[in-house]
Amino acid sequence: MNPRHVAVIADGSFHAKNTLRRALRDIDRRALNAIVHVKRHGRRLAGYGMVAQAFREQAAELRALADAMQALMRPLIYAQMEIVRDQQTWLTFKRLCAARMARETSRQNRSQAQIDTVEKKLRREAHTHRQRMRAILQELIRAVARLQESISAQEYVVVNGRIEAALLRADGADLLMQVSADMATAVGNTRQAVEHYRQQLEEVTHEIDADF
Amino acid sequence: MKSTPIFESAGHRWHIVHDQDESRVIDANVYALQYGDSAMLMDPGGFEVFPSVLSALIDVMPMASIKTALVSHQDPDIASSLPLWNSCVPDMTWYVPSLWVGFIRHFGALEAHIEGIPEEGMRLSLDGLPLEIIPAHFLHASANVHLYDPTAKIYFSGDVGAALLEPGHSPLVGDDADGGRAFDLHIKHAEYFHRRWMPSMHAKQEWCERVSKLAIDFLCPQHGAIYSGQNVSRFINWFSELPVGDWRVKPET
Ligand SMILES: [Fe+2]
Ligand SMILES: [Fe+2]
Repeated sequence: MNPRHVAVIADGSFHAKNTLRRALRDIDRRALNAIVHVKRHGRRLAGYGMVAQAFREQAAELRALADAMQALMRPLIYAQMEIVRDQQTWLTFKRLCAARMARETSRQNRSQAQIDTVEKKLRREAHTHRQRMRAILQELIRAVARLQESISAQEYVVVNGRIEAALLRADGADLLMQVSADMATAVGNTRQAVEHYRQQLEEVTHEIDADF
Repeated sequence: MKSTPIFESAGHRWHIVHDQDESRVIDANVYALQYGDSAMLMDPGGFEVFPSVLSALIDVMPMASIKTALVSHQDPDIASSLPLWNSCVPDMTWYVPSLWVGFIRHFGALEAHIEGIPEEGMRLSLDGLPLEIIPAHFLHASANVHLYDPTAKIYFSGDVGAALLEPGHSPLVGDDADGGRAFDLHIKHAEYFHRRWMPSMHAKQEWCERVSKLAIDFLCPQHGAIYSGQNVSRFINWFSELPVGDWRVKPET
């Protein structure tokens, strides 16, 4: 595990989590604003009511999927740090072996068997930890993909909202145009942050696979 | 392990990482001080618990912000994770009592950037936040330091104030305004630790006098729970009266 992968996963996850938290709060707030605005204007803006409700429902789904994704971040970092610890143990083991080789000649064959046992054990543990990390990484990428699908669905709702708002000629329609445009920006930011995070995870996956 | 905030004021934060899941090694707290874009760890912990500590910290701060660590003394529960941290954050600076620098390097990572702390302590700045490294020699290690953040009124006390508590314990000792009941219950779990691990009556007395003059809202030990409010002076008074430095003392049951 090289320090760059560690930094990409740890800091990438931290930033993705924070960006998402802000963006989801923003989306939720805008969806709520739209609902309040429609209610205030009664029947004239009723056509937009369905859109505003869809914003809200979609925002709740986004939040649930983001939570599911974030729940995997900590186990992933934990698994990654187990690998860092394995590497350090391996390094110490190799140093011990080198020191022994330099000193021992006559009893070499006897202690070689013990060394082989330790080496096997270390390799087995390292393999288990790497497999575990890889499995969590894959699961996380799948969770990110589900979140991306939900973001696309939200973008579709936003486009509908913009059309709906453009068709309205009543008082307050301007504000709904604005709400729709702001929502488009908020969802767009979320999409970008999640895309970037997925790219980072996939890049690390490829590099880790090559290392393995 | 989990990260719990202790103090927060405009980009100045203290977190405790506590309640370790690994019970085969002594339960230890790690503290993280964040200021601006930088973070400093107090006694970053042992080799075994490193994955838990780091993954709990990443919940609350980016790894890239961790620039500094304080090592209060040479014990393995304090800093045997040094080579692991060093492989993840190679440009970290480690503040270690000068007397222990050559010993600490036995944990590995010979290339780690280690700064020796002079015997009389030193002042430090974390991104402009003034901090004081306070000598606490012979409490318990022969070279030993604590850290005081006068802005947050937080005193990191290393093994002083330590208690051996059950898993799932709270990060704080308890209500400080209950006439000392929570403190009395807690301090039973601290007595053996202090009587057996603290070797010097003289060092203890000197420390109590020095620290009782500081404004402290939170006294944060490396094991057990944090003393807050009135429990801080209750602890200093209790410690001041405690006989220490006798190996014949028996653990509480
Ligand atoms: Fe210690
Ligand atoms: Fe300790």
